[in-house]
Amino acid sequence: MKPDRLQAIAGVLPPQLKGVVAVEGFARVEEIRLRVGKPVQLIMSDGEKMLEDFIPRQADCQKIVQSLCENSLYAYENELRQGYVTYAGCRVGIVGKAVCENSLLRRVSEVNALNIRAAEEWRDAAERVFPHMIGRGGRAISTLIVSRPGAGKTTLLRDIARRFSNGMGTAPRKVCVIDERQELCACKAGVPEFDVGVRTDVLYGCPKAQGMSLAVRTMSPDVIITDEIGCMEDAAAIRDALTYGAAVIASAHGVDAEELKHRSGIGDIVKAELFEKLIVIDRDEKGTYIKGISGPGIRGGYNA
Amino acid sequence: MHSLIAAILIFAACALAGNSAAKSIIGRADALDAVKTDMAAIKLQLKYSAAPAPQMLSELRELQHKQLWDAVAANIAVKSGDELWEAVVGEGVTGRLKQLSPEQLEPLRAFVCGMGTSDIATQEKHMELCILRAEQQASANRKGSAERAKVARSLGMLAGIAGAILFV
Repeated sequence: MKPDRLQAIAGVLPPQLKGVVAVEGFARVEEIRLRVGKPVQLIMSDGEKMLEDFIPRQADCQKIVQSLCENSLYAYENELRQGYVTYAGCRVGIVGKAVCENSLLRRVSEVNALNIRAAEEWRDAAERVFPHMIGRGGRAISTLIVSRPGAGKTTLLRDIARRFSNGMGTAPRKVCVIDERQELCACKAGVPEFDVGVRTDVLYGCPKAQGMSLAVRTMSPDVIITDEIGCMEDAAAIRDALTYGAAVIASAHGVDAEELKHRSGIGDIVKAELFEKLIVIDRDEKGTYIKGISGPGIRGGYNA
Repeated sequence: MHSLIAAILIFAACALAGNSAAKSIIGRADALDAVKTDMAAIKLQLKYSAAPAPQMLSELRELQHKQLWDAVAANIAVKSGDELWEAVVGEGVTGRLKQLSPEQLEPLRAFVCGMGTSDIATQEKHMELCILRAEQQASANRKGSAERAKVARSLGMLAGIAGAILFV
């Protein structure tokens, strides 16, 4: 799937850059990083490469952003305010001059760098992790997936949603995905472009905490899936969802449970033991692997 | 007998020409009004849906210059600025719009080229400015158009009468 998505992004790249990346092969590229006045950086599964043949100008970056937004910047105002646009399921990070109003970021102007991250649909991504999320009697276990950026949390969550929804290795469940940044499902006109299962409802573009509360009140989910939790509002919403009886599967940036405990927001979530399991994953040249599993119900608790 | 018929034909031809010129003058004024109305409808739709421009323009069915806005919708996702305007002029500026001068089309050009280039608040302000300028254009044009149309019709009739007299 990844080559198709990067190929879709290629449509908005300047022709010269598209040609240069095509020489390296879109299938190998995980990230394309553009910086004004600097060579383009390609991050691939086996390393990185700097492309000296194309040095982007500020106008190139601005034009790419315009194209990503279908030349309708106003329609992507919420995303731009958070510094990203999602296109064909790929998240494009945008930085430049911040325009603030009342100390709040309003938009980014004078774009000077872009980070285009390829989206991957890997249907077996959760094959080894998924059995750890099924409890006695097929009950879904609330799980927090932790890893460093780029290790495959989003890809994993996507497959987990599909497996719960389609009843793979367990009874089928009603799943609700809270897709704040539209990376998990890449919905276009309401339809997920990734396969997240036949019993999955998607709420996208909505802040996670609000989304979880809404889902619990209106969609009666068995499992709620969301990406990159970390603040106090998320903790309160997770607690509500668990009280309601839904299992919550979420992800967070980090190294392990011990490191997470020292961070505000996510630290409180871990200390409150809202999740029954914490699975730490990482990635190497062979793919994503489990580094460790810990949790209140496991010997050693969160130090396992 | 033949001269009488020729005189009648000449009178009719001149009167028709004068009437056609008058209709053209009124038509240009109507075209400007319609452009202004369309722009206002698009601005309202933007406020309501904030959808990307191609989607927003296709959702609006009551636009009077449909071909123009279809051309904008078809090109705006892939072109911008002067390139966009050239494509729109080529595909969408037809009929009465083609008779408008570049000065009269300027508010429309600014509106089209400015679509999608800023956040909602700035976009709305830009659209309001373009609508105001289109309003001024339409108003100035409408003021003189009734008299000019009357003059055109009168000149047509007079030319027809003069021609008819010459033949008779």
